[in-house]
Amino acid sequence: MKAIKIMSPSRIAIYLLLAAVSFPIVFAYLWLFSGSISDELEFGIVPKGITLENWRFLWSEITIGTKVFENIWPITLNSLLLAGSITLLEVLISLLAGYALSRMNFPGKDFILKTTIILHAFPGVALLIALYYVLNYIGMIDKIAGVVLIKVALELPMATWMIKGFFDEIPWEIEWAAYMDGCSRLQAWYKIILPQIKPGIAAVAIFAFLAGWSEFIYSYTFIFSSENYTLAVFLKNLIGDFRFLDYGLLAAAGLFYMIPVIAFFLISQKSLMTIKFGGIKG
Amino acid sequence: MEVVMRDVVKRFGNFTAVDNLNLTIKDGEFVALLGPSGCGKTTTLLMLAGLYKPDSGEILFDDKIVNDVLPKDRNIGMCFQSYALYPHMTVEENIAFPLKLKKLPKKEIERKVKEIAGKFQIEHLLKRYPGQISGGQQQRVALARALVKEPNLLLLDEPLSNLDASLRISMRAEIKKLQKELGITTVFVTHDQAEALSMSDRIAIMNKGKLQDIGTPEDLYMRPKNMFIAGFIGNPPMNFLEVGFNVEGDKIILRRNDFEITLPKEISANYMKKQNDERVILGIRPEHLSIGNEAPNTIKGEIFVVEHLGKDKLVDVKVGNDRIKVLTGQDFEGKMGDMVNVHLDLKNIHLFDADDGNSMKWAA
Repeated sequence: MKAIKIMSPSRIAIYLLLAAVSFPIVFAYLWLFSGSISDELEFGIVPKGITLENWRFLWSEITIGTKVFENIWPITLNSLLLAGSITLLEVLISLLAGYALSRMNFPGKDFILKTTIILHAFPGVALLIALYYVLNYIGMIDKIAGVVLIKVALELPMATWMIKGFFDEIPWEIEWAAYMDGCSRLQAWYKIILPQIKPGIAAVAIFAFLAGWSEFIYSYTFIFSSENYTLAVFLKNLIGDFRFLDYGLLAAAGLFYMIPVIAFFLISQKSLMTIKFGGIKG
Repeated sequence: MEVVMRDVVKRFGNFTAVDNLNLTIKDGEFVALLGPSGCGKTTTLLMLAGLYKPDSGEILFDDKIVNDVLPKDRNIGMCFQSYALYPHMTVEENIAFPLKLKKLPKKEIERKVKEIAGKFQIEHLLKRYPGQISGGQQQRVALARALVKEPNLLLLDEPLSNLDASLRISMRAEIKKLQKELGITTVFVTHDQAEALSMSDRIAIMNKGKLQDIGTPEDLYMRPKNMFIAGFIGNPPMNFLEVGFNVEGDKIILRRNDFEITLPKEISANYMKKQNDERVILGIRPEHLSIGNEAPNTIKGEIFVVEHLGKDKLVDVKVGNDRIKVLTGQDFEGKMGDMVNVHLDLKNIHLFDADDGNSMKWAA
């Protein structure tokens, strides 16, 4: 039976606090949105003179000053390709590695567990020069695949650790039951264990996608050909050298850049919440 | 299927979980592995399942060594203490899972799942998820899943320990009946002697990784080979008293400063192994003691506490620094602090070596 609840004072206080904390973020988004559909803004965020002119990059070529910009659609596709490949590789490898680190005993396991995390401690910028040499050597410079490889390598330790934690939670008995029922190790892994760590997979996928989508420094450094640009690089170029900065256009492009992130988060966030309990009685 | 374990050893690091185990389980037999926690019984079961590999020794199924056969190829049904149902599958999918892996035709899978669900009275649960059914129902599902593929061997790992008391007793009978019906060789791990005694054909009793004895419940109860078995089987447990051993003529006299028991000739004959004045352990079960009038050959003591068991009373009697338990009828009216005389049913005494704990009569 559902009863209508009157909010308690402590609950109201919590809501007020949350509202206060999220206000700057909401305000910033609102400002971005208003800016993208108007010529000018009044009082900070009130649009004046509604126009779609700022969104013209979606259907036409844009020029700022003397510079002609690339069509945004291939660039968007590049970004999707980059983030998508990173997500796919990272999830796949971390699921296999996490399982091995959680469930198998092999010499050097402890060492691997301790050292993988060290890789994460390096600031990416510190590796730029070394990575440039490596990419150049293996012929991956100026290629999206090269950036994918770097990003996956750097993000993988964290993802693996996260996934390992989820595997650790699965009782051995469930896995054993799968073997007794006739599963090979690989079958038990994908038929029985993976479905139970869906929230973990979703979490890793979200982080990987977001990291890939917002990836800037490696794309900017290792990609020179404009046909391989990603959205982050495109945005940077829009800002250019600040002489001819079009704020309306930048706001619209920035908003466009955020759409997949918001969509992706909304989709996968749901599966984060649906953790199914039961089956195990301790 | 006949199961043989030959000199099986399993170590975890420096710890020997199972030490030189030799065990033969006959075709169709229901054997319980009984022992306190950490005695190696579950490790033994997991080795039969193929989930653990023995460090040495051999495991044979019908004269074939299976040490290196993977669990999936052993055709064993197993039911875990936690039931280990797959939470993301419905009851129906759980039961069908082993058949799907065998790539049976869909129609046949459906038929078999229905049939076994009928047997376990869980047809109405087939569409539900494990999290939506009770512990007792989960257990039935787990058993159904273990049996649906018609395994050659059924392994049960404390299958009843998560059920409430009344359900546990009814499941005992059901499992036993089912096992006899199917005639499937079954190994059952438990730490609960009542379960082992009531369900199994034979009990293998283990302690500290070693097999103590294997025998029928009656065997183990009547003829315990050592103090561990004597103390583990039977509830309330057997009383143990350290006494001096003396032989006078053809009679044995058990003596300590607070009492003296003379064993008649025919009983003494079983125990004529020891030298005079050696220490031995006298073991006698509470049901073979009674409280009566002052008489020779009895033990004098003070009532420490009287426990009501419903049908009987269990009287704790202080004898010197020891306490012994005596099972009396409901009509016993002694109170705390009363002095009483405990009579022994001398036909049912056991004498154990004080050094190694082995029975002086039954040890091999």
